[in-house]
Amino acid sequence: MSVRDKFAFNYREEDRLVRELKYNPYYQVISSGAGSSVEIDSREYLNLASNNYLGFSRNPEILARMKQTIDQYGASMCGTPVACGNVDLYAETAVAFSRFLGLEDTIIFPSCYQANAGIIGTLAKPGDIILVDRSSHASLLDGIRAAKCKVRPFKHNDVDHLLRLIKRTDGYDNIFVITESVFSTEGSIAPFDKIYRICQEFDAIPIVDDSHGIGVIGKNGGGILEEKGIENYEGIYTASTGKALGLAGGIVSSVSEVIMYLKYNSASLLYSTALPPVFLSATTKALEILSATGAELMQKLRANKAFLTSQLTELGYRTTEAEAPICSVIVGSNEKTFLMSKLLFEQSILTTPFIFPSVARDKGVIRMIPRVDLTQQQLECVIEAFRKIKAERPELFEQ
Amino acid sequence: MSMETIMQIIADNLTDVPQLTETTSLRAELNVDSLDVIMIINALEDEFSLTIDEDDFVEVDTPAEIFNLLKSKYSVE
Ligand SMILES: Cc1ncc(COP(=O)(O)O)c(C=O)c1O
Repeated sequence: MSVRDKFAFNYREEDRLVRELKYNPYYQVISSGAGSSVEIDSREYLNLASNNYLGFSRNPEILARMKQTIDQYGASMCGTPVACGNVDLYAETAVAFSRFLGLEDTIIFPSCYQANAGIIGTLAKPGDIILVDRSSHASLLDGIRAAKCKVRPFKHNDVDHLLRLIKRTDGYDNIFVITESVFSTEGSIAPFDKIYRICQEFDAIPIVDDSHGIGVIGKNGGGILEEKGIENYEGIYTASTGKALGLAGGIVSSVSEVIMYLKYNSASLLYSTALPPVFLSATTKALEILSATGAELMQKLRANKAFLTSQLTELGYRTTEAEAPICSVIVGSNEKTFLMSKLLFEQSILTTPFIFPSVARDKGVIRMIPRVDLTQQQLECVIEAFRKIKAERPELFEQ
Repeated sequence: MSMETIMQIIADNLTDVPQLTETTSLRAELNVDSLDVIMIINALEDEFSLTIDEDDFVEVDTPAEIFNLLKSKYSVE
């Protein structure tokens, strides 16, 4: 078997759909920034695919801070944080993040994937047990695999199932309970207040990944802890700064002992070039803006989502029961989902299709991020496109 | 133990299973991954009050094979 054949099967289904529909939603070449409209092949598209919820990737104040930082510090420290990557901005950003979350201390990774994949195996030992939401992100699952301890997945957002499993954890050293806050494909929010209470009752250590929660949920965009009214959180919190904060990087916040332990033991932090200074200062600035304007931004985000969802429902579309400001339209089979994404694309709307096995079989969805910088006119364009599809492509709606 | 119980436990622990028969290949047809397998094992352990070696499940892939494994190796009646 040639090298080609050995790996070709891994994208078989996607490849078939791309060929049949003559449309490839993956690796689109975008020739502009992640604004509310983007340029692809010299044409403008409404950008509902990017996780730039708050438009921060184009925020003038953040960009000004970044330019200033580049002038002062250059492109990179060319060292790991423990060696010579520990630029003064690193501590400043860590303090800003800890304060924003109300937690003791923070470390910053080049990405949240790296943070999740790295810290779990560093914290959990062979005598421990991990209980994890079945639908958790690949980075968390990677971390769990690295931990080499007992793993028990609980049904998605199912607190009763978690409780049944945690009651049978006698004999293990440490119990970890791992979940995302916002499951972004469908927009559901984990019942993290209940999960946290269970953790406290059973002396378990919670790890929550708030990548799609920070700047997205909570009255002021404070994320899952604000959303669920959790104060003095004694657990581990991770998040990507590459989504609502509009940047790149991953943070881990917790009590100071955990952060100190990770600082000296987490290989994915210790042996990887530190996040460049420009992203550190930008993160501090983004948090500053979010703190000042979060309430207003959250209202707009929720209003955009409510508009899209209600209009689509009126047109006869089904959306997932998203509590978070994410609008996912349930389409069905892989073919239908791809086709829907293509038809929207033809009407200059860029969305993210999710097909099996990313979602359950025949539960393919088209995800749209109702970003704050969409105008009413742009929102109406989206609805118009769906109206047209409904009228012209009845085959998409047959059961 | 009945085949129906086994199939019910499998279905309960997977999301939206379309059609499950005794000979459905969990991995090839339903894309069952290692976490799904652990969930099924946990549920079987609960149902029949036993401890199953996860390695035993490397070899089994259909409800019928799971049924036979439980019967032969774990003496589930
Ligand atoms: C829930 C979740 N965790 C982690 C990540 C990874 O974050 P990063 O892009 O910073 O690596 C993502 C998405 O990219 C995500 O959706």
